[in-house]
Order: sequence, then C-alpha cells, then structure tokens
Amino acid sequence: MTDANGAPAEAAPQIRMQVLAQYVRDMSFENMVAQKGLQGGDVQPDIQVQVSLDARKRSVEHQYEVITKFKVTSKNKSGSAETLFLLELDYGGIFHVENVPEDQLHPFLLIECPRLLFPFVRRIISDVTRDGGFPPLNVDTVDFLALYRMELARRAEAQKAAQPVQ
Amino acid sequence: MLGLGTLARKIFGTPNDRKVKSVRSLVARINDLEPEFQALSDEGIKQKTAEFQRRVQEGGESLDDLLPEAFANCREGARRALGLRAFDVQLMGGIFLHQGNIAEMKTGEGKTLVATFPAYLNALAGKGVHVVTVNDYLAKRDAEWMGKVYAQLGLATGVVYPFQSDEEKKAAYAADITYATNNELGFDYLRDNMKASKEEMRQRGHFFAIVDEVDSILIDEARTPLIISGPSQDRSDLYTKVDKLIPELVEEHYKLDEKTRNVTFTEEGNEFLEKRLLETGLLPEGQSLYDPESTTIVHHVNQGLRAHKLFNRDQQYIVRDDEIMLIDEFTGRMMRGRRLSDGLHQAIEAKEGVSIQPENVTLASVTFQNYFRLYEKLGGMTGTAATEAEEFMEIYGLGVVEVPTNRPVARADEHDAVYRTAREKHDGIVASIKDAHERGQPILVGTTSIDKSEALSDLLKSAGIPHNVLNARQHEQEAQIVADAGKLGAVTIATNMAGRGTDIQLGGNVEMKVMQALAADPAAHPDEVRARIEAEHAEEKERVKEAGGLFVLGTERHESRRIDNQLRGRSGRQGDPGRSAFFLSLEDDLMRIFGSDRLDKVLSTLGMKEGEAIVHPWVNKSLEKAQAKVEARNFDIRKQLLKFDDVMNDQRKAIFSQRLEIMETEDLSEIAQDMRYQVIDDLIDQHMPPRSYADQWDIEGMHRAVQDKLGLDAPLAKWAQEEGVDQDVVRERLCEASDRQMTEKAEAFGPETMRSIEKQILLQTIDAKWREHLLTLEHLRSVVGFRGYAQRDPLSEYKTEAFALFESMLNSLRQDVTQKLAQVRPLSEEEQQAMMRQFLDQQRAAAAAEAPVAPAPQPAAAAPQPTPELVGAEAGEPDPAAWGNVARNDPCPCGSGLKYKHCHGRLD
Repeated sequence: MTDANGAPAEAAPQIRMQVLAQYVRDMSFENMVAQKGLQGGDVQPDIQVQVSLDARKRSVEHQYEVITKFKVTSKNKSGSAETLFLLELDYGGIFHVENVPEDQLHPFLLIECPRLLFPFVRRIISDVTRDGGFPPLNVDTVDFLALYRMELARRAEAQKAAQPVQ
Repeated sequence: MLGLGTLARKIFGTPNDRKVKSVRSLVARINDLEPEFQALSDEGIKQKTAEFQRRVQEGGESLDDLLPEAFANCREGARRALGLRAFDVQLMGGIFLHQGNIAEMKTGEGKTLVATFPAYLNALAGKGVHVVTVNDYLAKRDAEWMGKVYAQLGLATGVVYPFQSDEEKKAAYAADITYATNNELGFDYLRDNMKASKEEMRQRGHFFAIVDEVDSILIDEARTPLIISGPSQDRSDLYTKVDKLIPELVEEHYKLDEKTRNVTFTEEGNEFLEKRLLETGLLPEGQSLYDPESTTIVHHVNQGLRAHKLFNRDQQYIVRDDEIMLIDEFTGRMMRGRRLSDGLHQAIEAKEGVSIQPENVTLASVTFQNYFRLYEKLGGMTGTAATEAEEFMEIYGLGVVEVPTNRPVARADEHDAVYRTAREKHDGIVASIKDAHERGQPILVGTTSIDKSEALSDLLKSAGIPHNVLNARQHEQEAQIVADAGKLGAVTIATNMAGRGTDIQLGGNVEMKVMQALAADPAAHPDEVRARIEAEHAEEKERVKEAGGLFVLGTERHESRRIDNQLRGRSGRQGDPGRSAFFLSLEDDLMRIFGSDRLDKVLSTLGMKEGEAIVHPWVNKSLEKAQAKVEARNFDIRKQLLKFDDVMNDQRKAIFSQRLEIMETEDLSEIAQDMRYQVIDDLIDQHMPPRSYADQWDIEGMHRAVQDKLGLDAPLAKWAQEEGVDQDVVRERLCEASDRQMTEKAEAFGPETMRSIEKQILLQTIDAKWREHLLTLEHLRSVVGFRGYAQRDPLSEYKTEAFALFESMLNSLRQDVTQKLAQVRPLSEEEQQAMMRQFLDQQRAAAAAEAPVAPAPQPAAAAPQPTPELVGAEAGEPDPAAWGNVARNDPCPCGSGLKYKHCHGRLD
C-alpha cells in the first residue's frame, strides 16, 4: 500500500473508514417462560441491558475487529424475580480504519465503530424477543461517547486507588 | 520295594545329609566353648564383641575362623537377653546361613533366633547386615525382640520402615544390624540413586543379607519390579485447550483407519490446525507445527484426535466418579486403575471434562531379583525351598540345605485322594471335615482362591458345620482366626497366602485367650486369669493331640509343590501330631491342563464308582510329575525374563556407579573437559570426514553445530581457507577456544560455584537421560519378540540394540552436558528479577489453576450505564464468589466442557 506515502496527503491525512463485514458472532437466547411453562402474559418485566465492547487488530494492516456484546436479562418485576428470558449477543464488524492518529485510535474504535453497529444489534434484539413470544424489545440508543468517558473515569479512579498500595 | 537310588541313599546318605554332617563338628566346638562364655559377666560378653571386631577389622581374621567363638557368644547373649538357649539345629541353620545358603527349616523351629547368629557374626566386619522380612510388622517385631540380644552383645540394631525421615533411615542403616522389608530396601536403593550428593544417601553398601521367607521374596515376588514414578509436568491446561479445537475438525481433516485403529491428520487438517493454534495462541507467533519446538503441541493434538475419534464413551471406556475407566475389550469388565500411556488418558479426560490426572513417568525401577543380587553374600530362611533348589542355585548361587528339625516330625502325610468330578470331590471333602470335626480334631482347609474358599464355606454351611473363613477379605480378624484355628474341633477355611507368618498352636493361642478373658472381665487379677487359662489350655491341647493334632486338608494342588508343602507345614510343628491330605479331582485345573491323559483312561477303565476316590502312591507320583513340569515351565519363563532384565541391570549398575563417582568427585572439570573434547571429535568426524579436503567440508553445518553445542562463534570459514589447516588443527583450535571459554566462565562464577554447577548439570542430565533410556528399553522389549519370526534370537537382538541405545544415550549425554555448560552464564540482576517474576507468575498460575476461578469478571451494570470493555482490557480482579461475565455460550469455567448456560449458568 503506497497511498499513505503520497506527498500531498501527508499534511492533512484523510481519515478513511469502511465497514468490511458485519455479523452475529455468538448468540444465545434462553426462553425460560417457554422452557418452564410459565405464564408470560401479564407480567411486568424488569429489563436490564449490559453492554461491553472489545476491539482487536487483525493481521491485515489497518483492519480491526470490533465486537459489541449485549446481555439482556428480563426478570419478573413483581414476586419471585425469576428470569423470563436471557439474551446474549456478540455482534461484530470488521473495519478498515486508516489515517487516524495513534492517540485517537482507541476512542475511534470504541465510539465510532459501535455506533455504526448499534442499529443492527437493536433490530436483532427486537426480532429475537418478538420471535420468542415476547413484545419486541427496542433497546434505547446507547451513548457510546458517554460510555467511553465513564470507563476512562472508572479506570483513572481504579488506578488512583491502586497506587497507594504499591 | 527299594529302588537302586533309594538303596544308595540308605547307605551313603543324601547329599543333604552329608552337608548337615559336615557342620556337626563346628556345632560340637561351639558346644565345647559354651561353659567358657557362660562364665563371662555381662560386661565380658560385650568386651568379647569388641575383641572380635578388632580381630576381624584390624587383625584380618576371617569370619569363618571366628565362627565358633562368635556363635558361642551369641548363644550366651540370647540366653541372657531372652532366656532362650539355641538348640544345636538352630546353630546349624545359622552356620548354613553364614555360608551363603538357604536354610530350610520347618515352621516353629525358631527362624527368628537362627538369624541372629550369622547376623552377629557378619556384623563384626562392620559393614552392616540386613535382615529382610516380608512385612513391616515382622520387621519391627523382630528388631525389637532380637534387638535385646544384640544389645546384650554390644551391637546396635536399626529398623527401617516406610515414612521414616531421612535421618532416621540413615541411622537405621548405619546400625550394625538392620531389619527391613524387601520393599523398603529396594525403594531406598532406588531413592539413593536419585540423590544429588553422597551425604544424602541412606544405604551404605550391600554386604550381607539374611532373607526370611526367601522363597516368597526371591521366587514368588522376584519379578515384581519396584518402580518409583513421578508425575511429569502438569499440562492439564494444554489438554483442555487442545481438546476444544478437536470438534472443529471436519472429515477431510483426518484419516481414520478402523482396522489398525489409527487416525492421522491429512494435509488440510494440519493446515487448519496450525491456523487455529496460532489464533488461540497455543502456538507462538511465527512458529509452525513442523518446528522442533512444537513437538509437544503436535503430540497433544494427535492424542486429542485419537481420544475423540478412536475412543467412544461406553464402548472403550466409561465415566464414573469423575474418572475415566477403561473397559476390557474381550470381557467387558472395567479395568480399574489401568491408564493409557503417553497422555492419551489425559486427552480422554479432557474430552469428557473430568479432572485430569497427571501423567506418570518411571523414574527408576529394579526387580527384587536384581536388587538381592547386589549383595556380596546372601542367606535365606524358609520352610519350603528344596523343590526350588535349582532356581536358587542358578540365579542367586544359593544352595539349599534342609536343616533337621529339633524333634522329628510326627505328621502323617496321606496319599492324595483323586475323584472323577469336582462334585464328588466336594462331597468327599465335606464328609471328611465332618468326620474330623466330630472327633474334635481341628481342621485347616486350604483353598486356592477367595472364590473357592467362599464356595466351600457355603457347602459347609448347608452341611451345618460351624467354621471360620480366613481370606484376604477378613484382614482385621485374621490374627483372631489363626489363634482359634488350633482349638478343639475348629474348622478354618483359608486361602494359601492368608495368615502366613503366624503359627497355629494346638489348643489355641494362650496369649489371645488371656487377653480376651481380661477384656471380658477387667476386674479379674491377670495372674489368676492366666493360671486358670493355662490349665484349661493344657487340657485342651492334650485333647486336641489325642484327636490327632491339626488336620490340614488341601482342596486342590497348586502349580508349585512348594505352596502345597507350605500348607502341609502348618501342621505338625515342633513334634506335634498332625495329619495332611489332599483331595483332588480330574476336573482340577492342574490335572486338566498338565496331567497325563492316561490317568483319565486308567481311572475310567478301572470302573470307578460314583463318589469313590482312588488313593495310590502312583497317582501321587503322576501328580508330582505334573507339578514338576509346571514348575520347570515357570522357572524357564522367569529365567528368560531375567536374561532380559540382566541387560538393563548391567546398564543400571554402570550408570549408578558413574553417578556415585560423580557425587564423590570434588572437581569434575576434567570429566567435563573430556566430554567436551569428545563432542568436538564427534563434530569434526561428522562435518569434516577424515582424509577429506577442506573444500569437501561442511563448513556451514560445522559452524552452526559449534555454535549450538559449544557456544562458540568460531571463524571456521577463515580457518578452512588457511594453508595447512586439517582436522587436527581445527580440533586443537576448538579445544583451545572452548577451554578458554570455560576458564572465563569459571572465573566469572567463581571456581566453587562452577564446580557445583558442573556437578548439578552432570547429575541432572544423567538422570534425565537414564529415565528416557528406561522408557526406550521398555518399548524395545515389547517389540523385540517379533524378531523371533525372522529367525533371530530376540534376546541377542535385544542385547545388541540395548547396547547401541546405551551408547547413543552416552553420546547424547556428552552433548547435552557440553551444551548446557556452554550455555550457562551468570545472570545479571535484571535477569534474576525477571526469572523471579516468571517463577512467581507460574506459581500464581498454578494456584489459580487449582481453584476453578476464571479471571475477567466485570461489574454488572444496568441498562442506562453500560460498562464498556476497552481494547486489550482483559482481566479484572478475580472474584471467587462469581465467575462474573461468562458468556452464555462459553464453556463453563468449572471445566465440565458444557456450555455455561447448560452447566453452572443454568437458569432455574
């Protein structure tokens, strides 16, 4: 690849980003209502969504795999709090990312890329819950920037806490 | 009817009689000396011992010359310490033992006391005497009992048993006389030869051993190898990781040959695996499956494949109690305790998700046969050895002498009763037992197996005869049953081996009775109880004697006459009356397999009636012939095996003596130098063949080899271009360079450190190589038999190959030692720290592997505040309470191999 060395581009490198592939990487849906024959009709569900992210460099230059991991737990709000369903979804994409400065690569991969993947995840969760016999679950939009900042803060905190010990 | 041989024996005496006669004069001399020693004070006896020691160790007097005085002294010592005066026959037994014979003495003749005489005499030489017993209990009992005699004589006694500390063991071996079991002696010998320095060794040589129950140790157990094995590196983790990859394979990745039960990877399979291994990080980046470093991985992958494709659950094995149990293909039985070797078992364990047991490797092994042949002199005692005399002579060089009994044997040995069928035999046995039981005669019934003893027990039950069963299942009550076996009218069914080493006393065991009476009535005065019981006992004993003493009834003949004689010997001890008879049938194993067909014909033509037995000396003879045939066959097998063993034994001796030498030598630099020069010679021969020209040399290969083996970057290419440089010059220069390198190293380390490094490397390498070699020999031995098909003698083939292997082992030993020495260098501080860190990491990893705790839990968060996981963020704090965020589809961290959602993560 020679384009990175082009003379005019060097001054203001054009950020290039392209989704090469996107896919369900791993999925698990456990429908406890169906498995245990519970009455699912008029329960108040308490739904929790956990999101975590992972990104890794691929062996091809400029390529990264970004994985968003969603875990959706639905519990009976009233009464015994038994699980109604449990959905886990790893949704990943392969991105071609070029000319992003080194120090910005990290936030880029964990903010921009998940943002592109999210709508698809949302649709899958909605479809699967509906297919499981539940009202379709439309997950609220996730603010990946806020998420990133929070995690940074959490880490800084953790580091601070760890330092006096050493 | 007297045959010629019988006639000759009547006139000239048997060879045994002549041997016995030859020592009578010695016994007479000891008897003459008795008054002289009786007159000595206690102190005087000890002084005599000291005097003898001086005479042997400094004066150079032979032990044989000293024998009469020493035996007389020992007899007096035993009389004072235990109140037992040795009979003449016991002295005789002692003399035979001292002469390196096996003394055959009947039960109850006081073998334990006999052993003290030669033990005392030989201990005077100060090199240690070992008295070998069959179990730890006997070793401790005899050491305590006879220790009193030795103490009276001024000698120290030691006893060795398992789980002693090193110091205790060393002290026990350092004593003048050491009591120990054969197992412990053998294991200590092996352990000694795994020690790193001479100071740690426990045994101090093998001078003289007296083996009690010598037939059982040197013949029955001769082939039992003592094996010290150790777990090899724990790789459970690797097994599990590899195991996960195997299900990903599809059919074109491997080739399954069901006929030969073999499975191999295809080209595609290899490529696929390499890719997956790289991805999972099992194979380091940039390394291929074909690199020599990948051997272990390749091995694991292969075993994993075999575990999955060749072994099916409930077909080849079953899973029970977190264990893989193999199934015998032919019988369908579980083979408990059997494990497949080479990591295959572990691979199956990983596949089934049970806990993975570590692999075992043999670290050292020796057979009793070979261990006892280490002794300069060996003596043995037993009740039955005469029938095996040839074997003792041929293998151990031990003569067998029958020592006459103190009182003549009053046991009547009846002729065998032979029945046509087993059923008739059993009826005969029951009838005979009933008859004897009614007359009040105690009966001991000998059977050949636990099954048979229990079958007979059922028969007696239905006949309404009260009885005891003594077999390996009733360990606890064994002593009680044996003690009661001599009581009036007692019926005891025993297997051959049960209760050996304890006497059956007519009328029961007085001590036992007293103890029981006291236990039942603790208030009674012990002495009164004893007096009462002794009186009762004397009366009962008389009545038992009147009834004919102990009746030994054999239900089957054993393959070896010796075992039959042991059973017979239970009766008629110390001149007691007794009777023995064997009940046989033509359906017994021995008769069926080895008996002559004629016997059957003769019996049927004679028109034997139902329930009738034939009793005739000719039948006995025919049977004994059959037994002799079997004995000879078994002996041949053992002899053949011994010949194979000898090969390994010679090599073991060579290696162990080399080890000892290395441990003893302070400065090993010369040995190391010799090895280095040898390696240089080999390299030159390999890369620069003699009488070749410089341009024919494999300079590049040589350069690599020198760098690899000697750690030298020698300018070989330049040397080769020089005028007049030949192999000798290269050799000289290399030797010089390597010497210089080693001197520099010695300086860097300090001479002392260098010496100890050399020693450690040498010992470690020898041990490792020897272990490998043992394994190779084992493999060789399992296949060498096939050479017989090619009209070659497997033994000589084995010898040649084993020798070649031994040589190549020594070669690679030299290379390894040289290479390791060339590579050692002092560590910088940083490196030391790095090593320390690595060590700690490993420790931690090991600790983590023990507890099923997976790393990387993340704090759970609700929808509005999802927690991101950042690039490269891997592990949080391990939280044992929960495994944290295990994905539902991931394998459960408990190691079950199930998905988390189907295992510990199951929603209920």
